[in-house]
Parts: sequence; structure tokens; C-alpha cells
Amino acid sequence: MIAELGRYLIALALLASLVQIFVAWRGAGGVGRTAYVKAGQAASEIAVLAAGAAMILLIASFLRSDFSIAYVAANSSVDKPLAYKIAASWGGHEGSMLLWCLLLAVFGYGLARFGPKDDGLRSRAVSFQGLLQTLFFGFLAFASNPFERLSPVPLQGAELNPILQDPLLVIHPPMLYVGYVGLSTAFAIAAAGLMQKTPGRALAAAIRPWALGAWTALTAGIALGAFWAYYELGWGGWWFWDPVENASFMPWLLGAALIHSSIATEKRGAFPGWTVFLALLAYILSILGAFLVRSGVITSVHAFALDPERGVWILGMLGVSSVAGFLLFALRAGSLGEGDGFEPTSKEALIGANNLLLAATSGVVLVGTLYPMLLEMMGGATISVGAPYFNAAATPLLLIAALLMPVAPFLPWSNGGLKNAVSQMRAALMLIPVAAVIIALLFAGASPLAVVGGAIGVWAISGAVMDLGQFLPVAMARGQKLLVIGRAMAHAGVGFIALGAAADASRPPDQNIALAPGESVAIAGRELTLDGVRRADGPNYMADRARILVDGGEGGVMSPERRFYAGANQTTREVALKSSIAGDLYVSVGEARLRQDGSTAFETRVAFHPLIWSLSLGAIFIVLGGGLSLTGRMRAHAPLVERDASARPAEAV
Amino acid sequence: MVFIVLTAVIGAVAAWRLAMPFLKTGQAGAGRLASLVMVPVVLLGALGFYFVNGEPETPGAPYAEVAQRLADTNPEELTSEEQEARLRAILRENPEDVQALTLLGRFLSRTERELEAVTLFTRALQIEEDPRILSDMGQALVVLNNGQVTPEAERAFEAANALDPSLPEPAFFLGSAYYARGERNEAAAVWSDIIMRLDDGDPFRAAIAARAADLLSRPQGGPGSAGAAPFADAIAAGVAPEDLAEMMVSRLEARLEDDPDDLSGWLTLARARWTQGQTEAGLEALERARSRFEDNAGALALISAMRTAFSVEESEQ
Amino acid sequence: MRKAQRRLWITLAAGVVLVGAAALAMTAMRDAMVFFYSPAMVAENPPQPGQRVRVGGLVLDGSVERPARGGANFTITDGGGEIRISYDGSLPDLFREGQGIVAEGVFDPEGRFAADTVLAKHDETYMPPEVAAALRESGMWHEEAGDHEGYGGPEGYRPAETERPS
Repeated sequence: MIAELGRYLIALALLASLVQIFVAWRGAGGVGRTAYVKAGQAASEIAVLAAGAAMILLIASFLRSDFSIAYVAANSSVDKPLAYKIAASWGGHEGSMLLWCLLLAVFGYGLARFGPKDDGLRSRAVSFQGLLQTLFFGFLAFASNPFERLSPVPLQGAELNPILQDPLLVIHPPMLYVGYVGLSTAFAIAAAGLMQKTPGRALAAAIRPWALGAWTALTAGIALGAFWAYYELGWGGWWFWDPVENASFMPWLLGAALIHSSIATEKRGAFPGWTVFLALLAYILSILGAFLVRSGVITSVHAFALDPERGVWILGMLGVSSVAGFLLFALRAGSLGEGDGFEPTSKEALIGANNLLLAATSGVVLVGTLYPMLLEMMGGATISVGAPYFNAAATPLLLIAALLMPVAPFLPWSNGGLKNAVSQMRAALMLIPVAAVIIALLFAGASPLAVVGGAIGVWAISGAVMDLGQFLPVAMARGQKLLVIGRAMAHAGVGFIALGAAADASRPPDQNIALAPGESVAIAGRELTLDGVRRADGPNYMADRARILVDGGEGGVMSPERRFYAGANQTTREVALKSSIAGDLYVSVGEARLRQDGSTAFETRVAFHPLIWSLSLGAIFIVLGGGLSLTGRMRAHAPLVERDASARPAEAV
Repeated sequence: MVFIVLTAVIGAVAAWRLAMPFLKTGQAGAGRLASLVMVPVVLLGALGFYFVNGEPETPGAPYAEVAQRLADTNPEELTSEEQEARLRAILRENPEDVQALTLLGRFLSRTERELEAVTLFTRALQIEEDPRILSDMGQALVVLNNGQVTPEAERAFEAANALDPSLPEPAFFLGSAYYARGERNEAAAVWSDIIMRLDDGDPFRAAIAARAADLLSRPQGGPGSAGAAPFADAIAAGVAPEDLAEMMVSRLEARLEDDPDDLSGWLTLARARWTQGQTEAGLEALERARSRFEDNAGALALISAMRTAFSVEESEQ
Repeated sequence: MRKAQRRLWITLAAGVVLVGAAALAMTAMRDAMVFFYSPAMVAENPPQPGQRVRVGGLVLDGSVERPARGGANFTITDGGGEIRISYDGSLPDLFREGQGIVAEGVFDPEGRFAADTVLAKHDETYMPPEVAAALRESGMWHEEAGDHEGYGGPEGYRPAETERPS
């Protein structure tokens, strides 16, 4: 009965979302409509509670190993550790869609409670959110139900893919989804604003905190995924430019553009149309991501053609959202108003440049991701577009954006101020060539792109430090210190990521060699000796654990494992890492192979990833920076639109 | 029924929550009407959506219940998959149940899951050293390694053979291990020994004897035949293959005169003569071996097995 | 600055960035695009030695050879041809005989394929897309190709795809 109750609750959430559309819409009608507003809020409340209860019932079904539910049978086995039984409830397709729906409802409730101060805007946003909820709950209820039953009931479920059985993956999908789905609020507010002709500045102010929160979560989710790939897939890559990653990277890029352009729109009224357009597009790309990942189109265009139900549903949702959003935009963009003018070397100009570059990067990634699929769909040659394309096409654009980034905080709004900014940043500017030379020397044989990337990373970090030094005192006096610290941290984070990526791209070649006990391999000036291999079985797997001595034991011991999950009939590698300030020593152990002389050698992969911590640090900085800005913004009760027109001469120079 | 009532209650609570704002404001007309419409819409609508794919009658099947049912059923009425599940359930309760470990291990060995089987046997052996389990584990290892008796498997068979020398499988595979290394006399000794220990009617006896005779009578190659190539000159001189074969067999015959205790050598000689078409010489070699190994019942069984093989071949020709 | 002037500025900047990005994407695409060849296509019309391509097919049973120094040599087939592949790296954990894989690298003049990447996606039921399409064409495709050994459920029950969550 638990399963059927879960199914009923999904149906109830779908109905509540439908009611939410209409009731909240009427609530926006004017005075005397408070009952409708309240009822709209109640509807979103019911959707949250119903979806939340359904999620709990699904988790309970996993804990009970109820294999009469197809989704449970496909993703769990009796012997799986408890934490992964719980995580499996959002680890597969249907469960992750339930999570998506639950989060949509939570954000709908959030909008109803803490949404824009303007009552009409808030009510309409709740109504649009209801539309998005209805689409996804409909998909969940009719095409992708996690409570679909299975008959006959299998005795044992299929193990969740063992490489997904990882503590990090317990939190990675929820985090990522908070980001993806959080962007729906920006969509809903933007659509509501267009509907009732809210001026651009006020609309940007309403969108910004939601977009910032969602984008911060998206950053954290992507970073967790990259970190997981680094240590779990066994060969030290952290970003592969595969379609699944690109699906999350495109909304991230647009989200990054949005949180910056919305500052310019809010403060100066610059490019209001663009900001609203981005708010719509970011969530549409989130849905496109869901389509790419969930329809099977990545695995094969044919797989999608064979079982198109899910894909067609998601395409339908994509179509409805885009048509609704862009039609509104086309009809009403004129009502957003025009901002004041600005000089080509003002803060607005730089934010605009950053937006162009981020959007162009997103386009480049979109082309690289979709082109092979479109070509195949049209019967053309089968091709693959891999990392070389993205590295060559996307990286330069991102590097230019990172090069401009540190200057922006030093430029004044509206007026040109490059000379002033340059003189304030002298010290950091001088660091660029120094950093480039150091990097070129440190990583002999590094590619020019990596040297440039590393130097730009150092420049961004030093620029962020100078930003703090220059503006923190003023900001503290104004009670806006969190905003400045947040900005500096996030910008420094970008620098750290550039530096870490450049260093990792220049690492010494990985080594892959079969070692018998007693034999050694040298990498990055260290000698790793295989001391021995012994069995170390776990609850649902068998394992060989190698003992590897670093520099004969003086540098410590590393214990990578090779596991065999009998339930999933799959082998995985557990990497051993030894981190230091210089970087990570990375060892994984593979198959055993018998030598002619009768000894057993173990395939061993060793690598050294210099400064890899810089990537993690960068991600943490960006997430903290985003969080601080959001907190700072919520604390500041300052008027939303700065009124310091007196401080600048009008239309001069 | 319970389910319908439950959904009705949940739906009613939801409908009431939606209608409340309208009732509270106390305004007449449209609002009150809306709230009245809301109740049936929510109650019926949600149920309607539910029934598109709903299966209210289908019961859940939590694993605890399934395991209980399996435990309460006579194992003979269960399918093999159910038996496997039952054994796993027993082991979950009591991971040290040697019988369940062994049974499950055997089942997995038979269904091509040797790796997991080996783990189960290892666990069972940590609790209780049993020659049969050792033998099963050795065999699983052999299958896992495509028929090769690895050192790990050999150790298992050795231990099993030491604990119970009358078990046929460990002895057979132990002999195979020796044979694979080229230690033919050791192999012959182990095989003769086990053949001696087995009853006449034991199917293993005939099977092992036939296989052993076949293996031991094959011309030697690989490790064990080291040294300078004795026929290099003859090959260089362009001697015909038949003559070359004759030279080799004669050389073997001469060696056996010096070292008549080489059972494998005798069997090889007999088979060589037989394949050359010299059936008489072949039978004679067997007879000489028979008189040589008069006191060794196992060896005699091997010789008889060889003889049987010849007569089978004869009747086929 | 006047409104019209500002518009011009913005349009110009946007145009420069867009044209630049498009040019960058097109050059990169031309250089980085890798064509896929099935063994049958190679048998019919082999690519130039030294040209970077992807090949894919099912790993032939019994063809895998693992030299003691590491790496592996193996043969892939699609029924219409065979390609011998040598690979120095460490095979993915999901690599096994009968499994579909994709390898990227170059052919040497003798027709052997030197791979620098071997992909078997981190999913038990995953069939690399190019392989699935090529196999379907060659008639070697079975819908149940990703058969699930071990605790298979009753007949007709197929585990849903597990993919990397996102």
C-alpha cells in the first residue's frame, strides 16, 4: 500500500499545482483578492507536503527493499549499505525526477512566502511556478512514475551501479538539482514581470537573490561531481566535457551571466531586456539538460527513437516553457524600459563584456554537445566531438572573461575609469608576467594555453585581494562588508580554478605499469613500491587492497583497492590519494596478471596532480562567495535601487 | 478499502486547507463558491489522476516478508533462484552458518559465479576445516582460471587430500597440477593411489583412470624434456617424418629398459606403437608394464584403462 | 553618450564576440571532430594511417592478450570485419569480452590500431552509441545485449538504465 499511497500523493501534488496556477493568478488581480493569494500559497504548501511525503515513502520502500516497485528493484539490493539505499531513492531516473518535482514545489512555496515584495509580481510568479510544477508532476505521474509496480516481483534487486555508491554522491545530485531547479524561480519571476509590465530595474532586483542562490548551489553540485569523477573513476580526470557535464555547465554559464547582468540592471538600469532574457533562458537550458541526460539521446539517437516516451515528454515541457517564456518576452520586452547610458570603460561595459563572453561560451558548448546528435539524426556521418574541441573553443573565451574580471570592481558605474583602475591595480598587473615565467619554469613543457591560464589565475587572485584592500573599509562603514567579501572570494575562486586547471594540464605523464610485490615506479621525484596485496572484503563487495610505500615508507603508505561487486557484476577502483601543498599523489590498482616466471603483477596507475587543491579551493571560494553575497543582500535593508544620481555628471565626457 | 479511505482523508484535508482562506474572509459570493467548488475538484481530481495508472489492489512485497515466506516453505518446492535467496537470507541472520555458506558456494559455482563462491568457501573454511569445502573451493578456482590449477587451488587440493585421501576430486586435480608441471611420475603416483582407494563400481574410478591413462600416454613436451634436441642432426639430414617418429619411439623403448619404473613412459610407448599401427608391439608394452607394476593396483587400473581405450578404438575402426 | 551611439557600441561589441566565438568554434570543430569507423567500414574503405579516428565493436571472445608489462591487445568485431587494437593504458573496469567498446587512436600502416583511449562507459548496460548503431546495421545487435548476469530477475525484467546522476 505504501507504493500506491506514494502514487496518490504524486497525483495530489499534480492537482495542487494545477490549482496553484489559477488561484494564484486570480490573486494577482488587485485589492480584495487576499483569499486567492492565501489559497495559492496553500496550494504550493500542499504540493510540497505531498511531494515530500512521496519522497519519504520512496525512501521507506528502499529501506524495506520492496521489489514490487520497479524503480526500487532496478536500483537497490538487500545487502546494500543503509546510506546508499537512501541515496538510491534519488540516484536513478524516476527518483531523481521526483526530487526535481519536490524542489520545484519547495521553490514555489518559497516564492509564495518570501517572494518579491510586490504582491502582484509575487502572485503571478507563484502562478508561473505552478505551471512549471504541473508540467513536471504530470511527467512524473504519467510517464516516469517512481512507484510503478513490477510483476512478478523479483527476489533480488539490481545493485545500484557501484561507482555511484559513494558518500559524495549522496549529496551531489540534490545539490545539483537545487541549482537546476532553483533557476525556475528566475524564470517564473521574469515571466510574471513581463506579464504585468514591471520595470526592468525592479524586476532584476526581484530576480537576483533567487538566481544567486540557485547558481551557488549549482556551482557546489558541479564541483562535487567533478571531485567525485577525480577520485572515483580511477584515472584522475575531473572534467571530461561529456554531454552530461555540459548539460550542467550551460545553465551554470548563463546563471553566472545572469547574476552579473542583474546587478547592472538593478543598479543602473543597464540591459534590462538581456537580464530578463537570461533569466528565462537559464531555466530552459536546465530543462534541455534534463532532456539530454534523461531521454537516452546521449547514449544513442536510436535508443531515444526506440523508446521516445520520456524524451518526448521532456521535449514537450521544453517546448511549452520556451514558447511561453519567449513569446511573453517578444510581446512585452519593450515595457522593461531603457537604462541610463554608460561609457565603454565603465563597470556596465565590463559586465556586458563578461555576459557576452559567458553567453558565447555557452553557445560554443551547446554546439559541440548537440552537433553530433543532430548530424546523426539527419543521417550524416557518426562523429564525436570531444575535449579537444571544447578546450580549443571554450577555454579562450573563458580566459578572456577571467582576464577582464578583476578590473570590473575598480571601474565606476556609468563613467569611464580605466586609467584610474589601472593605476590602482599596478601591483597585480606586474604580477602577470612574473607568474607566467614562474609557471613556465615550474611546469617545464607546459602548453602555452596552460601558461596563459595559470598567469591569468594568479592575476585574478591578486586582483581579488586588491579589491578587498580597496573597497572593504568603505563597505564596512556602509554595512555592506559581506557583499564586498563575497565578490572578492568568488572572483578569487575563479582565479584558483584557472590556476589549478592550468597546473593539472601541465602535469607529468601518468604512468601505467604492472608491478609485482617489491617492484617500484617513480613519478614526480617519488618512488612508489608495491609492498603487497591482500584481501579486504566489504559488505557487498570483494576487494584486493594494495599496500604501496612512498619512498620506501618514509613518505607514508597508500592503500588503493580494486573491488568486485558481485551483485552488479562490476569491478571498481578505489583510488588512494596523498595530498600535499605541491599536489596529489594518485594511485589506483587494477587487474592482476600472471607473469612468465609465475609471479603475479598488478596493473598500477600512478599520477601526480600538481596544485589540484587549487581547484577545490576555487570551488569552495565561489560557493562561499555566493553564499556571503546572498546573506549580505538579505541583511542589507538598503533601498533596492541606488539613488546616487547626484554623484555623477549626466551624459558628460 | 483502507486505501480508499486513507486517500479520501488526505484529499479532504488538502481541500479544506485550500478552502480555508475563502471561508475565513467570510465574504459571500464568488469566493465562497470557489471554495465549494474546490472540495470536490481536489477530492475527485487527485483520485482521477491516481487511477490513470494506479493499482490499488497490488500488495507491497517488503523483503522481510518475502524472506519469511521462503523460510516457511519446504526448500524442495522452491525454484533454484528462491533457494539462493533463502540461503542468502539465512546467511544474513547468521553469517557463520557453514552449511549455508557451503551450499550457496556450490550453487554459485554451478551458475558461473565462481569468484563469489570462492569467497564463501573461504569464509566457511575459516570456521571449519573440511576436506569437501577445500575441494569445492579448489574446483571453483580451477574453473575461474579456465581449467588451470593455480598455486592457490593446488594448496586447497593438497590440504583436502591430506585431510581425506579417499576424496577423488582433490587427488585428481593434484595429479593434474603435477602433470601440468611435467612431473609425470608424481602425477601417476597420485592418480594410482586414488584409483586404488576407490571402489570398483565408483564412477569416478573409471573416469579418473581413463583420463589419467590418456594424459600419461601423451608424448612429452614442454617443461621436463629439456636438454639438447636429440634429433636435430636427423632433421637437418632430411629424414622422412615416419622414420623420425620411429627413431623417437625406439629411443623411448631403450630408455625404459634402463628405467622400467616410469609408468608414464610405458603408457606413452604403448600408445605410440598403437598409433604407428604396430598393435602387437603396443599390447606387448602394456603387458610388460603390467608385470612390472604387479603390486600396484592403481597402476594396473591405469594400464587396464589404456587397454580398454585401445579396444574401443579397435571396434571403431 | 547618445542613445544611438551606445546602441552602436553594444551591437559592435556583441558582433565581434559572436563572430570570434563562431570562428573559434568552427576551427576547433574542424580540427577536433573525430569520425567513427566500424570494423566493416574499415575493411571496405580504411582511413588514412595516422588519421585520428574512433573505432568500435564487440570485443572478440578469446582475443584479449594482456602483456606482463601492462596494457592490452585485443580484437573487436561487428561481424563485417575485425580490427586488432593495441593499447598501453589501463583498461576500463567494465572492459570484458563480448562487451561493446569504443577506442580512439590511429591506424599504423599495417592496419593495426594503436589506441590511446578505450571507453566502456561506466554503466553496465551502456552500449557506446556508435557501436550500437554499427551493430544494428550489421545485424549483430540483440536488444538484450547488455544482459545482466548475476541476480537477474524473472524473464522480461530489465534493470532500468543507471547513469551518472546530474
